[in-house]
Amino acid sequence: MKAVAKAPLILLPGLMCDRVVWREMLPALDADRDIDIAAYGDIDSLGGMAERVLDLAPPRFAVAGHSMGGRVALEVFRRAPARVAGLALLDTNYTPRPAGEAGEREERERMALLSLARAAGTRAMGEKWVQGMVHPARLGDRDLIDAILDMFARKSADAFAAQIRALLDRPDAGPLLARVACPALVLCGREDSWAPLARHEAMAAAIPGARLVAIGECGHMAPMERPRAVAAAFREWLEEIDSETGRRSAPKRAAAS
Amino acid sequence: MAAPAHGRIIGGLGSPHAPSIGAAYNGGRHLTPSWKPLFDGYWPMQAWLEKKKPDLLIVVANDHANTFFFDRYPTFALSVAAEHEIADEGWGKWPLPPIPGNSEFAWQLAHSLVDQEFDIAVCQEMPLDHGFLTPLSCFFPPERRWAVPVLPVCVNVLQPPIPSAQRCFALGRAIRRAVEAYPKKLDVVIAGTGGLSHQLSGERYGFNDTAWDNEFLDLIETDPERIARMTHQEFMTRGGADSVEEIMWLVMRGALSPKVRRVHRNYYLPMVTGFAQVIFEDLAAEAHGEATARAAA
Amino acid sequence: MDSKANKDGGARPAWETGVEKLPIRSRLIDFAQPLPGTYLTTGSRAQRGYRLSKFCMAFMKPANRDAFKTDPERFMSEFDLSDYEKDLIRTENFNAMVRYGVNAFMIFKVANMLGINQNQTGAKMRLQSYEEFLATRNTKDAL
Repeated sequence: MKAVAKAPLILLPGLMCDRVVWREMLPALDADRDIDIAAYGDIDSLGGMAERVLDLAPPRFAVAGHSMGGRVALEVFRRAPARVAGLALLDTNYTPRPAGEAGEREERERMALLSLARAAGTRAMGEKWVQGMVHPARLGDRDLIDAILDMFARKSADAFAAQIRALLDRPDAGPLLARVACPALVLCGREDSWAPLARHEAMAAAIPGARLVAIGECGHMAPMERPRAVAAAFREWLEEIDSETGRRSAPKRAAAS
Repeated sequence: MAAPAHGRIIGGLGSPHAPSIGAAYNGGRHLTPSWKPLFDGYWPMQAWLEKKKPDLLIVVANDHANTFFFDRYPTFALSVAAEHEIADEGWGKWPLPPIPGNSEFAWQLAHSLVDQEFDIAVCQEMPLDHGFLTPLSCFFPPERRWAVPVLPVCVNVLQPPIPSAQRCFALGRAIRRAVEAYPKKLDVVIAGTGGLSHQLSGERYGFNDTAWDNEFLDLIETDPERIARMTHQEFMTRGGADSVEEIMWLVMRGALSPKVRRVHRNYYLPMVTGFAQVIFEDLAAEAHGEATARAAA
Repeated sequence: MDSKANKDGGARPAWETGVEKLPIRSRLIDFAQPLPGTYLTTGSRAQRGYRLSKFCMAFMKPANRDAFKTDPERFMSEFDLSDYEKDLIRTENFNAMVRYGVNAFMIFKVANMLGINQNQTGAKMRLQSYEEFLATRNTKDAL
């Protein structure tokens, strides 16, 4: 039986995150698949981050985004749907910043974290921020918390500022969901307090054929909190993508003239 | 019926300008099954031009990086040359006779447009590429090249910022005023070229929408103001990125009377572009002609 | 990306990103809502692709077409192309050229020189084979 070509996979980390988000998951994915992890530099718009991904990505690829990375994945899909072989959205959202007081409050809260980062460093900011980020039972897991805080510490306050700007200016990705025509995975920690399960249920309902996976005993940092469960969901999703790609490139019967 | 002793627009044409069309005609492939439905739409246009005997044909088209490059790219340009050179697009010039211009009127038009606050670039040399040569080849059979002098008007539709549809419609109106102010007999036909729906780059290459194309043809005839209010985002969404060039049809339509008589319409989508052809007769020109005839009676 | 060596030799675009630092505000085009599979040659994208566009224009001259075919690496170096730009030409990656800021009509000039016609170029842009693309058209030979 002819080997099925494996779609390249691009992983998009979230706000202040980097490749370490995905580190524990990678050994559970195919060793012979091209896997690349994006970094955003000082880009301060989700569209700009998406453009960077598209500039550096192979022609056709599967893309998985966590948190802010999920929004970037949607912007990638908006710009080049023909290039997206599969879409995975983890602990993320698609709505724009609300108008009025709610949106202003969001800005105030983010700016307060930024002030803290500038005054005391990004690790100190992380110590405050991480409180709601993981499942409460994991707050005592020093290995996990240190991995997260070390990750934030690797980014400067300037990078934080740029990514905050990108999030504050986020577009409405709602209209895109119904247009997704490739295998889609929507995943969250059941106890994700920042991107609740209900929002993911809405996303999965709007995306044709999407699979929804809610991981128990898990907060916002699902790839780090429950890497094996996330990897298992990914394997199914990637298998669907690869078999779809195989169908697409199967030789066609010659058209009758 | 005596023609008036000043310029007038007698009608407008719409035509595609893809290079494959001119190549098919000049290469003798226009009667093959894949091309015939398009060329069946050109014979009435050839006949109409022969019957109407215009003194000048203004052709509105865009250059395709054969005459202008992005080192310096005009938004609007016209050529005042007495004779228009044929561009070499890389494979030698099309084997066509040199194309006569009308320098006297062209300079008059240039002054009138700038007076009317259109900042048009004036070229003494503007080699014409397939944007002009395809429609010209198809409007005139080989034995009638070239029965009518040509005044080429170039519009930037390649590199945003591209002028708005409203601006192009206004340019057409300004051209009409310039023609009517010209103090000699000059029957003018104006041709808008390009389109209709198509996209030639990106993953969306090959995009078409025949329903929208037919709606466009209805509106350009009966409600051009609605087309003129469209943004480029709307053009691109409905007709593909390269369908923005349909704003050149608005230059043609703006130069015509508010109501026109459509005497010809054809549509054919063989490969990547929805090709459309129209003839609109100017009703004000006809009204004037009748008035002159009554006055002379 | 940054964590794994890029398979095609590590070449990167000369600029980190193709979009404006300050997005263009236009009444006529919504730069915040780009259309799928559509890349407009304007702004910083067009400026980035300008040198490569000039290179494509050279192929209007038969002598340049011959020179490239004789020694492509030398010809590209004469135009001062970056490693990334050379890679785009070597791999005939037309879609990446569009993204990079080269207008379609300039891409057709280099594609033509490489013996690839407009619709073959378009098929590649659509990530389809030529046969797959032609199957989506009303005729196959109105070329």
